Amino acid sequence: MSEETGISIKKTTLWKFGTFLFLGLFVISLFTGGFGNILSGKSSVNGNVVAVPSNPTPTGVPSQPSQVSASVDDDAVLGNKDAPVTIIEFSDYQCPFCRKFWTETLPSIKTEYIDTGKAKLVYRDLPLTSIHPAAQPAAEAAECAREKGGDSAYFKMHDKIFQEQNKIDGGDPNNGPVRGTAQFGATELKQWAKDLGYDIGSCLDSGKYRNEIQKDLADATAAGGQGTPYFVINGKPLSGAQPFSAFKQVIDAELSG
Amino acid sequence: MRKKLRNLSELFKAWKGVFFSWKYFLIFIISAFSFYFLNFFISSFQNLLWHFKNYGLKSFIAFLFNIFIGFDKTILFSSFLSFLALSILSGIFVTLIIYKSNILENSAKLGLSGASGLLLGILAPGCAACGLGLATALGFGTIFVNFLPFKGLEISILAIVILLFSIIKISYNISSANECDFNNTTQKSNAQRILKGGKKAK
Repeated sequence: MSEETGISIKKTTLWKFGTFLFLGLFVISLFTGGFGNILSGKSSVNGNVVAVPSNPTPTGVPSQPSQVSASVDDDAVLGNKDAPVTIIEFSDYQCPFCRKFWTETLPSIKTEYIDTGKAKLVYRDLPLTSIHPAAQPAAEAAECAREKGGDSAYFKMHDKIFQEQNKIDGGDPNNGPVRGTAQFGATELKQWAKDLGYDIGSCLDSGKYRNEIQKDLADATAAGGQGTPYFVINGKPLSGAQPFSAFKQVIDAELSG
Repeated sequence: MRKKLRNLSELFKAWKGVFFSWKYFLIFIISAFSFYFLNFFISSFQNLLWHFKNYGLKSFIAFLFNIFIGFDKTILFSSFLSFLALSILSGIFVTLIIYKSNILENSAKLGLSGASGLLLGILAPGCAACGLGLATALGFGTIFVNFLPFKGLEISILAIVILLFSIIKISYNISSANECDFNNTTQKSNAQRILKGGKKAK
């Protein structure tokens, strides 16, 4: 067998080179948005999220503190409005990780905390339109459904959007699995609303909730959201479609604190 | 055909020699786990930092354990599979490199293909959009999201292929180092001692 073309180096040199390389990369990362950008206080893309491709607020980017301020605004609420724990979810309807959270984690949170009155979920929009073109119309469609039948109609449409995407993705409507990004558009959204008994055609075409969605996006960025799904639980941020055990730990800490 | 089968048996012989030694098996486990944990840590760094600041060390340890155990649930299945494959392949590759460097005295020959496979694997082991790998840590994960059709998954597939190629190549090298060493008695005895778990001769 012919000898492979390779780099012959001493083990000590290899270790020195490796250490130097990783230290160098770590220092570079501090200036390029890596590891939460410790030096500048800015956030980077982090785990299990689809990242915001370009920062919508280029000036005055907020720091990424461990406690953030995010309001409920006038958005749809699931559960007891006076619940001691408020989970604000900034989400993108076409993001596969948001759908994964809805499919795998939210049912357990709902059973253990929302249905028992311990927590409420506020759904706010963070549509990443450059990579998910259907996210904005989907968010508007859910608002249009809310116009017809209040918060319960909103969450019926919210569930329907995720269920139908699970079907497009080749899985079970409620159990998935989530394999990737599903493609859909305004026509499908209108049909899904019609299946629920809501005619949202004129509302969706008018684009009357466009500004409302953009306000959510601006609030998410101000609260430190850099990707979806992004959660603020009683002011404490949690990023990504984390497992139920991670949510449980934070919610229990908030309930006991 | 017979030659191919013979090559295959040489490959298994080399692996048997390496991984049936508890020392090298341990190195494999540690390397594969380190690769997995490093990527998990990069991906979860911000959440871990927030949790530590908000709830203290005791809660942080439990949180670390919780998100580590549930890590597979936070990324897409295809990403998890390629991430797992790369962790195992990187572990095998590092172990074979260490084994080879022990046999061939004080020199580690890191093949170009192996080095590039390992680097690509470290760069984007699952998909960059999932927050995995050095690409994310260096803050250019979103570039992949915008420009690559499979959101960085293609890099990990490429890394898997290159690593597989390197592992096969290095295994043949080890196999030939164990057999064709009639003019290098020190090397031969070193290989035999290492296989028996002993120390190599100076």
